Amino acid sequence: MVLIVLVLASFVLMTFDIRSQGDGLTSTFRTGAQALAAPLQDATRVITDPVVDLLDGMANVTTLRAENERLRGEVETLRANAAEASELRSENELLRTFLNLPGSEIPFIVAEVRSGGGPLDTGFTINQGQDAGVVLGNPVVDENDVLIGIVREVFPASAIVVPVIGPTFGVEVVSAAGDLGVVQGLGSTERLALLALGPEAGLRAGEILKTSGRDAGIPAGLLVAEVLADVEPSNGQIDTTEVAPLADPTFARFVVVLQYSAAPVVAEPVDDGTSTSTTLGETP
Amino acid sequence: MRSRAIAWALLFMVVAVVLQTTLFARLAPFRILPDVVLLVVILSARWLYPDPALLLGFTAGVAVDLLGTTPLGLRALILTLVAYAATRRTEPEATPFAMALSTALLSLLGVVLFAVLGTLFGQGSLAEGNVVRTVLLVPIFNGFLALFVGPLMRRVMMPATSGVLL
Repeated sequence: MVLIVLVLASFVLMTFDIRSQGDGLTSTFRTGAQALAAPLQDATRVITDPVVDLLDGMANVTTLRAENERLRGEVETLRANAAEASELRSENELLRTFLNLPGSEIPFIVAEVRSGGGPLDTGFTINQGQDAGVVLGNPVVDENDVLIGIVREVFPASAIVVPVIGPTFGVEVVSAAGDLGVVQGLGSTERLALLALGPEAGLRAGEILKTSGRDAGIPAGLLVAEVLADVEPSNGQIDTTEVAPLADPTFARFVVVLQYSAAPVVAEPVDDGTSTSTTLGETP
Repeated sequence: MRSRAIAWALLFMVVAVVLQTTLFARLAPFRILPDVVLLVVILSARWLYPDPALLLGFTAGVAVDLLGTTPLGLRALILTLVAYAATRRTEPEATPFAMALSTALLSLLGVVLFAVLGTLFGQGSLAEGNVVRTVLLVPIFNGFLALFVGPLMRRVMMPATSGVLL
C-alpha cells in the first residue's frame, strides 16, 4: 500500500514539475531546499575540497613533467604572439574609433560551483542567483570564453546550470567559413553532435566552432567545440558529425555568468534551411 | 530501538545527500560519479521494516531531485522502487561480501531504472555517451563502498546482542 502511494506521489510530482517547467510550487520547493542545503554543502566543501585537490594532484603528478615541457614551448610561442597582439590591439582601437563601435564588454558575475548531480545528471548548481543579477538563460562560460552551459533555473541565492554536454542542450554555432550548424550535447565530456552544417561547409581538424549569436541570450563568438577530424560535405552539406567540447563542466569550480540579454540576431532568409534560430538551450 | 534505527538511517541519508552533491560531484573515478544516496538507501533497507525503508527511499529521492536538475519525483520513484526491492531481497545479517554483492546488483537495478525512466521523462539518459560505463561502474563503486559502509551501518542500526530486526 505504501509502495503504491509513494509511486503515485512520485508520478504526480514529476507531472507537476515537468508541466510547470520550473515555475510554481515545485520551484518554491526547490528554492527552499537549495537555501536549506547551501550552508551544509558549503561547510562540507570547505572540508572536502582540499582532500579532492590533494587526490587530483596525486593523480596528475605523473603528467606534470610532460605538461611542463609543453608549457615551456607554449611560453615561447606566446611571447612571439604577444608582440603581434600588441600591434593588432592598437590597430583594432584605431578601427573602432573610425567605425564608432561600442565596447564589446558584457557585464558578468563570477560564481562558484556549489554542487553537482549524480550519475547521468550533468547539471550543476552555482552559488549566485537572482540577488546577484543572474537571470534565466544567461550563458555560463569559463575564463577563456568557452561556453560551459546556460542557466536553466534561478533561485535567490543560487542557480541551476544545464551544461553544453547535457543531452537536452543545443546551441547554434558558426564555423570558420561562416556556415551555421547546431551543436547538441550527448551526455559525454568527450564529444558533441554537430547537426546540419550549411552547404558551403567543409571542416578541418582543429577548427573551432563558435556561437552564432542567433540564439536569444547567447552572444556571438563564445567558443563551443573543436572539430576532431577533417569532414567533407556530402550532397552539399554535413548532416551529422561529432566534435569535441572545449569545456568540461564536470570538474569546474568557478564559472562566469554573462549578463547578456540582447535579442537574437535576426536571421536573413536563406534557402538552405539552416536559418531557423533554435530556442535557447533546448535541443532543436 | 526501531525509532533509533530510523533516526540513524535519516542521518546517513542526509550525509549521503550532502556528500553526493559536494564531494562526489568532484571525485569521479574513471569520470563516473558514484551514487552514495542509492548506496545508503539499499543498505538501510536491510535493517528497517519495509514501510520506513520505502519512505526513506522516497525522501532521499525527493532531496536529490530538489538539489539536482532531474524532474522532481524521478529519483524519488527510483529510490522507492529500489528500496522495495532491497527489503525483499536482502538478509540483515549477511556477510560483508554478500552485502557488497547484493548492493551492487540493486545499484545496477537503480541505475538501469534511472536510465530508462530518465529517458521516458525527457532527460535523455539513454542517449548519454557514457551510459554504458555508468551502468557498469556505479554498481561496482557501490559494491566496493558497501564493504566499508555496510558494517558501520549494521553496527549502529542493529544491536549485536539481539540480532533481530529493529
